[in-house]
Amino acid sequence: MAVSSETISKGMLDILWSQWSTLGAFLSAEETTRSVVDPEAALVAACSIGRADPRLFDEVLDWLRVNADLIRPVRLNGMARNMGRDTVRVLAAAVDYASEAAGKVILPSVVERGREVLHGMKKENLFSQDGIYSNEFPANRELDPLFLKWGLMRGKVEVRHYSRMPDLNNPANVMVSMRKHYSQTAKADTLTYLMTGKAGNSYQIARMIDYNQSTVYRALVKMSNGGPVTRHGKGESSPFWVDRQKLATSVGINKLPVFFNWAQIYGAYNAAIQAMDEIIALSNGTREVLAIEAVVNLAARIIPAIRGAGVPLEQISIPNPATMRSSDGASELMSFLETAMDILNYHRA
Amino acid sequence: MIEYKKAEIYLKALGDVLEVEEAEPVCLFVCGAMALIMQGLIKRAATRDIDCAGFVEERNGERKINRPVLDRPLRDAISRVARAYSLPETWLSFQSRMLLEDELPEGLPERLEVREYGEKLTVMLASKRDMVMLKLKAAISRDKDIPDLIDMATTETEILEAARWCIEQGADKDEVSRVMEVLGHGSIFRNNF
Repeated sequence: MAVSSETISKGMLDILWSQWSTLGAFLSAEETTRSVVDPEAALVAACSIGRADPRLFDEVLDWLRVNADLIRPVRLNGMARNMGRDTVRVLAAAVDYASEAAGKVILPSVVERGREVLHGMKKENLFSQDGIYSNEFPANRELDPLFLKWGLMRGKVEVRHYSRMPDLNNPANVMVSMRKHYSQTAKADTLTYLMTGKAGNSYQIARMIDYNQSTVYRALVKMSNGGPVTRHGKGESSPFWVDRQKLATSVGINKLPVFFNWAQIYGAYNAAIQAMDEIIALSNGTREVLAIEAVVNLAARIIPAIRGAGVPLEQISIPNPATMRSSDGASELMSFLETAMDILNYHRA
Repeated sequence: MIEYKKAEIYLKALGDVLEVEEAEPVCLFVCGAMALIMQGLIKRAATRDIDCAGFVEERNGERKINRPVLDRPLRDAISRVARAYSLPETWLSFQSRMLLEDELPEGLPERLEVREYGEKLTVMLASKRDMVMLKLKAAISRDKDIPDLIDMATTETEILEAARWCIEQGADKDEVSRVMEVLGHGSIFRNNF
């Protein structure tokens, strides 16, 4: 098996193109219809994995200019923080740009979080080349002053102003449409999960939708008092569920998409993209133990995250531990990542 | 269980980690079954752990075996190898350090077989002659060492030297005789003691 970070990066970028097309960005990609698109997770991924694709990144900037009110800042900040300082900075720069382009303040807390992490960060290219963020920029090209303020080098941004609102008739945009139906976002996102994921207690649901457990619990209790949610038993560990089809019909969805915890998936793949080239270099060296250590460490981080990010992913076999601890460890882990990517692609369109 | 090939992999890994961490060089004195397996002295394919009885210090061309005192870099390196290959932390065992409480066979340090695992790790294996002595002494108090002694196909000279050394070290003559009988060297023992 060919092992490279490029394979994983390309696969994730294909998914991102499809999701952003679904959300209304001007990208010529087949829209997602069979899995729920999460706008905050997609935005964080565009600012991490998306740094390998300037075209995608710039269309997301344009989309943000028009659709920033669809984004929930607390959730967005939490996801960006989990992805790392680099992502917090790029996200803040992107929001800062969108604010300037829209002529109004957009998601100020995101910019604030970015300023908090900026100290001590080095200047680097916004876009990666072959997975590397160089700190050199062609002298004959004009740098974008706004991104430069964030220590990110790139050419002048030229957006095309073609972004539109997400198509709410597409079931993949159920998260956006549920937020429009329900004024409170925690209620909307909890219902989206119960409708497209599976029944669970407040802890399980909160983990899947990246919320605080007590917020989710309160929303569930309210909605189970004569609302659409049914509760079995008492206490915070009691499970909640909804009549999925009935709820789907009430919000105009004929065919339910599948729920994935995209923040967790993008986080895991981003970690794999960052680590895989080093693992390959170590594998090609003479110190096998260092490659095995890197594979085992990465596997411990990403395998539970991916397998726990949605019902279809629970079925993937865990890589063979003995193979992982051998010179074929990187291939074994890569095979797992590709299998997961096949499942994600199957549930795309 | 650790096979010879695996032992080589783990020791190389330990040497690699010590090198990467720029640790002080370490020289392990390895005895026990793995020392026999690594020198092809017994047919047994695997053993539970690699027995290290001490650290070898070389000064002015002379070797001295010291009690093993594990510093943090070595302990961490052993743990990293254990984690990487899913081994118990005791894959490199220091339980045989008790050997150093008694006298070792004279000249043992000079007879050690040297194996290098990079620039930071050297393993010194007890020679067959010394292993016969150490194994015979061990076999007096525990029968589980007897099969290895049989497997080693000891010569008359080696087993007699070992018996003599054990008695010098305070072993009971009857006990030595009993083990020699089990080993099939009873008549040699009777003729010489």
